Amino acid sequence: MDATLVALSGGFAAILTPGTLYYIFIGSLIGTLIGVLPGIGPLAALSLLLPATVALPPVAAIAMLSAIFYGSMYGGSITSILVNIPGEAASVVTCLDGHAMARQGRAGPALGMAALGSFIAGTLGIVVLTFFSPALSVFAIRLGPPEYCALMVLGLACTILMIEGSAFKGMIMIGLGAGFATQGMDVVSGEFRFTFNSIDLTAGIELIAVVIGLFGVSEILTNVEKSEGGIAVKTKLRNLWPSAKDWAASWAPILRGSGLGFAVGLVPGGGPVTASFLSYALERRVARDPSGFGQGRIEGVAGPEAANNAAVSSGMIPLLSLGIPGNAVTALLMGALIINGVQPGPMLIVENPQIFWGVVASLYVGNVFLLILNLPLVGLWVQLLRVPYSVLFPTIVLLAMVGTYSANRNIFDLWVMLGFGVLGWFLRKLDYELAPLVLAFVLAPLLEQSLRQSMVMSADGAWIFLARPVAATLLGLSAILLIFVALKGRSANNKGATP
Amino acid sequence: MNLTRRGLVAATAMLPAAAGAQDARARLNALKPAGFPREPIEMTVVYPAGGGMDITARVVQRFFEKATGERSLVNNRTGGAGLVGHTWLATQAPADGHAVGIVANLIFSDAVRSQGRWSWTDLDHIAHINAEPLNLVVNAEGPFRQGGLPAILEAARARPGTIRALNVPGGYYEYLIEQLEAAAGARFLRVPFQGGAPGITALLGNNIDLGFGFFAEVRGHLAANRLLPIAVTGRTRTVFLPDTPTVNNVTGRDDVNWGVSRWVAIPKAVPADRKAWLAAAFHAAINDPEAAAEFRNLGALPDPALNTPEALQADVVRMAQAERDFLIASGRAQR
Amino acid sequence: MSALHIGVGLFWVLFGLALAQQSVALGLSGPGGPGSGLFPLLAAILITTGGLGVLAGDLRRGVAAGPFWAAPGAGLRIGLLILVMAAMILAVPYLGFALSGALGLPLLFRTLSPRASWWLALLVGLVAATVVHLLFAVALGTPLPRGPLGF
Repeated sequence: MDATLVALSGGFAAILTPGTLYYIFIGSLIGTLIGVLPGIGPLAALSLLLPATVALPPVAAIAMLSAIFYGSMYGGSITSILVNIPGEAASVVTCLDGHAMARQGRAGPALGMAALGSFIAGTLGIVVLTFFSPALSVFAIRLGPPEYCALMVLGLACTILMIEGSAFKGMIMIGLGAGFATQGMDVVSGEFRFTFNSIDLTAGIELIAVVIGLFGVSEILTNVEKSEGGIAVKTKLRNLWPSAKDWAASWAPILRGSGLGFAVGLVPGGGPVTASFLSYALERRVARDPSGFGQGRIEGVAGPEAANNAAVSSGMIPLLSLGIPGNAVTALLMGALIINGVQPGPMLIVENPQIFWGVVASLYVGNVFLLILNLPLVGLWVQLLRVPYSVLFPTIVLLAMVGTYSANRNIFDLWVMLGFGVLGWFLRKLDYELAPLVLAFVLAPLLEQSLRQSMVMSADGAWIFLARPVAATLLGLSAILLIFVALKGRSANNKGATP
Repeated sequence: MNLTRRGLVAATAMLPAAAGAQDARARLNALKPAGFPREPIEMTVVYPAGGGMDITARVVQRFFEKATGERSLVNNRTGGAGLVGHTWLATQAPADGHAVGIVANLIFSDAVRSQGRWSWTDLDHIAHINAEPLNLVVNAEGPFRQGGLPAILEAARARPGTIRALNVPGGYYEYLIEQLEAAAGARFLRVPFQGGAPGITALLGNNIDLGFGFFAEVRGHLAANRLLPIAVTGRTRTVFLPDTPTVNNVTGRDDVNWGVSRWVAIPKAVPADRKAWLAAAFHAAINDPEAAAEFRNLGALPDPALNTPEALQADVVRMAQAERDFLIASGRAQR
Repeated sequence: MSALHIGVGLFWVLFGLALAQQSVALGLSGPGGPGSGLFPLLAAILITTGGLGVLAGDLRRGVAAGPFWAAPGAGLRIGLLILVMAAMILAVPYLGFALSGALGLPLLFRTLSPRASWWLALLVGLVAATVVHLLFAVALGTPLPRGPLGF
């Protein structure tokens, strides 16, 4: 413990120079911006800025890139809350209750609690990273396909919990999400599925295009349909900051979200998106009075926002301690390390302790910067609501188009976005929930890949899931959840607002 | 340690190179067509940012800018495990010389997968970058930590279908496993992964027994004694693992020569003068001693024999033919 | 509206069945485990079952009939919006984002505010397109398709 603190203070000493602090700040700023802009996400931003970091010393480079990553988790909630359009896939669930709060004149507390929850969760995650990184990485490395599969099953079981309205409609949405996800290349066999001889379709369907279309474009279409200028959101704000009552309701979700997000982010393939969805489902399940979810419960903002930030912190653990990237963004960070002449791997902390601890220290500092950036700006962001819809929405359309294009630089993604936008608008009219579609779209491919890998790996077929303790436990949990759902029904509130 | 080494190399290389750089730039400028390039040269990589190809491309890009003084950028066109990007390069890339591809020998299998839409012959291959073999690795605390490749081949022969090997379907990981099986009369249990890196992760957790990786992917784990190298593909031993035999050494055959070879390709229709300048520019960039040092750091070596576009073109044809021969011999393709 | 609901329910069932048929064609089992078609088949089963359930529920309980469009003139607005967005996507490879935006955004603005003047619409389009271009192409350096004017 003492040695860790000494090393950590060494890390702080390494970064508390004006130059490095400047880059952490720039990274936080860019990250927030990326989060706010619909479509463009941390992956695209990091690829763009990677060349710029070569001229920087390694700690500053990695610190800046990491700041963009977790910064985007702060910024993504802003558009979700204000205009019901997610800035990031990890902020989709924040739209549900966050925007409802905004419609009630409570945009300020929503934004504030999102920022505060993100800060608390991010910092808690980094603290755990600081002290328990070695032990956690030892644990994480032993997880294999059966454990990932069991985790995804648990995630899908939670999706079922999330469904508020008709069970059959939810089934269709999960089926659609899983079905859309199979389109493209089957990674296990290398075959193409449903590509109808088109090269563009071999790439599969891009998540960002789906999210922006399903939630962004459809939101615009829905609003445009209702009236000419769009419905005016209550810009008369009751207050700008979370009240004591808000805090009383939020502290537990924040803690739960931190824990859940941290666990989910540690596993390769899990990440901020999955973490946010699972946290929302968890909050709905443990709330004493689940009515009102989807209509402005602050727990539905605090939990998921905490979860996605905690997931980013824990996602850094396999990267820094083992040199193993858990998702595309940490893979990019690993590339950035290599480009900057640093060899990632278990020896990083031994060979380059100043880099390891410098990056860890920068995570603390970055989160502080982000809190400072986001909290006072709440008043400013809320002014966005004063912009007439006829100006705001076309601008968002263009932003969404450019942002979605920036993912793969493929025009085809824009058609996907438009198509899902029309689909989402149509489905909302008929009272279908869109969140389960997105979650199934994210989880199903991971589930399929790990399931099939496990089946190949195992000599006795499906028994491998029971033979391995972690997998068996997770599957048992899923079974309990599903039985619970079947017996007691999904929630007391079957008429919840659909997103 | 890595930092100071890089600094040292940079500093010492700079002194004599500074004078030579002037001449080199002058030679390039003499070749440069008027009014070209008008915009930044776009170097397309068909794999995600941060991966091996991407890192190589970014090194090339940096030294290209240093050699020519022109702007450039790296663009990742991902999708379909490379198919989307390769298709764009071969069919849609503008032929005005501003679009360049940083490709690898994986382009051959993508040409096959495109089902006749394009072929690797639709591109001109102008500058070889580097090449490296695959390294076979096992877990240093796993059941095969002793005995090397012979032991694991023997186990796969004696207990067919139980030794779990990393497989990436549709590429030379699969071909390699087939050749190992043929050489030893063995049968592996092929566990499918999306790429080498997730497989290495699984190997570290003892979820598979045999993995294949490029040097940059496994180097950190080798240094930490988590993984042991047991063989390398390729005709000769690599300088990075001088004590590790080649697969051919172990099996006594001569057919295993898989690895990655990376080079620069441009659309065929690019005008000849622009082509010549691009070839010379990339050549200058890649032959910069600092660039060579960076590539060496990444575990890949340039091949001096492939220093001209003609030599590279011939080598590309040879590699494509070798792969096609294997596909025919293994029954995957018709003659 | 109820005809629409029935139609949608039927669509799910038929779509699910078609997907199931394609999935089986892909192959349900492969070497060592499930094949490519298994998960699409599971998805198809979910869709078909859900579709049957929705259909049964709608037929049994009947659907509250209400107008499809939420407000007068909505159909026109929605149609125009989709059309303009499609036109913009078609234009981007040739005109670039900035120009397509400058042309398309005024149309969108006018769809949402039919009583505003064309001058205002053009101004909004120009300003928004410029801001977006500055943000993405200049500040972030995203490589975007260029139009005839070079940006």
